[in-house]
Amino acid sequence: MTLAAAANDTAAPLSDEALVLAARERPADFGLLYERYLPRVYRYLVARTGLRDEAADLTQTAFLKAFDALPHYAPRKGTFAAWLFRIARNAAADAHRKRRPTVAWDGLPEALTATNGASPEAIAEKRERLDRLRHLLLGVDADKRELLALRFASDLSSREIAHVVGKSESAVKKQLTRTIATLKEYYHDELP
Amino acid sequence: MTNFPDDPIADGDPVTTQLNADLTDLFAATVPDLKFERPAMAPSRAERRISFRLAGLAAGIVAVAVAAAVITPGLFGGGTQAVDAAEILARASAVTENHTLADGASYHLVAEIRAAGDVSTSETWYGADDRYRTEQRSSAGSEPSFVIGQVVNGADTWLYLGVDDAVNAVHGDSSALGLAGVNLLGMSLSDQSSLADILDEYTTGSCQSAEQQGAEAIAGRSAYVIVVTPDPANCPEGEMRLKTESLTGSSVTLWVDQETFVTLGIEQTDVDGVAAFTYAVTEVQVGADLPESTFTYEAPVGVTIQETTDISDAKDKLSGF
Repeated sequence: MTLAAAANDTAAPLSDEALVLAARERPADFGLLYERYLPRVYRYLVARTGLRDEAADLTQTAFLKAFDALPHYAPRKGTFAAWLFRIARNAAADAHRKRRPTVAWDGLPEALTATNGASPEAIAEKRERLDRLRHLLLGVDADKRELLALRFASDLSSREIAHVVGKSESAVKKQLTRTIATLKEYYHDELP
Repeated sequence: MTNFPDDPIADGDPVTTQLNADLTDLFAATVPDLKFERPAMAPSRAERRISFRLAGLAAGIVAVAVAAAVITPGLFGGGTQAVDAAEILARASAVTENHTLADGASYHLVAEIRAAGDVSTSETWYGADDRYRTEQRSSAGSEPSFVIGQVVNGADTWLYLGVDDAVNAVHGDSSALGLAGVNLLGMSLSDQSSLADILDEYTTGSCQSAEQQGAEAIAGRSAYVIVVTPDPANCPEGEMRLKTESLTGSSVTLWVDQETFVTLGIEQTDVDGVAAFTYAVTEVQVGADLPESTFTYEAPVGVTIQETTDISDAKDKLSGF
């Protein structure tokens, strides 16, 4: 079995750490990590910047930095995902400092995928619900929105998020719990 | 969305479940067809220039720089075979993290490096995690002579590369240059604070195993002797296992200071048991009083320190003789 096949074998996918070792040995194998993480990194950066083109550029920047830094990734200090997203976050912060006075969070993508096969009424209802949720998010401060993006766009655990943002795991859990509870309160009030 | 154990966003309430699903949808975005251009496969113009510029340097620089860059915990998974000049500089300048000395003591050490028949000197001045200097110099009489170094002082980082009488130097923000890993052999690569930590560090990656084999004195310091060997049985199937199997018979012996956990010696042997690389500390002063000037780079007369904002640009400027 080739490494690429093993990486994509859903029965026994290679761990990130195994792919890192492979990529250190053969740089071309970094492509497997790229394919695995591209959607999550891109979605996080779309949420972070609000601009798809900028997110695409930053995604490339983040992966290039990760590629350069790969010889020094140490698994015992955290997962590859946490390490990669910290690089992506730094890349976004650097770009933000250089180019943009504020971070746009109102450019969250419209969700269309979840409506496949649903009735027109269900689609309309879902769109309405998501619009309301998008507006609710605008009232959440940037730090908490970032935690939500790392959880929901990047699919990271609380421990990984803590590593990315430099906070304790318990602090991240507490903030996520409170943010969800706050959102839930208003979201519940506005549910049809 | 993955359900993690002890997930703070999963309380079993249907409203929370719906909210989580909607948040996941809200953050979903159609991913464009982005292609990653791997430098190793399609070198950039700058990297081709680096490769060209370095191609003329003596094999000694190449061998030493490679050795300095690859002797990391991923000894066998990381590969120690010959690489091209661009990769050498990339590795030598790669970002590294968390240089931490267990007890926070300052130190100064001098070491001798032997690789591919060449000898060079390595010197490290360590004041704190974000305040240190490393320098690697060719031995007297080498042609060409070279020096490669890094100075980190809080937010400021300088990198310099000298070949014969020519010197290129860059300065930038430490966060941008990311603690560029020039000659890390004199540094502790992680927050090791016990023998178990060290063994764990060198076992990470599962393609190698590490065990302590006694203790010896190096430059007047007591050191653990740790032997790392390829362990293909614990390696994922595929190319990595095949590569690791091909390394059976080789080993890396490390001498690690029992008090500070700084590496005091390395001997790498090939599959025939022949020493291919050695690093041996010859002088070490723990608790050394290091003058402030150590942590500021003063360029030689006539050399302009170029400002840089990222490591790729730094590499380009360093190699542009």
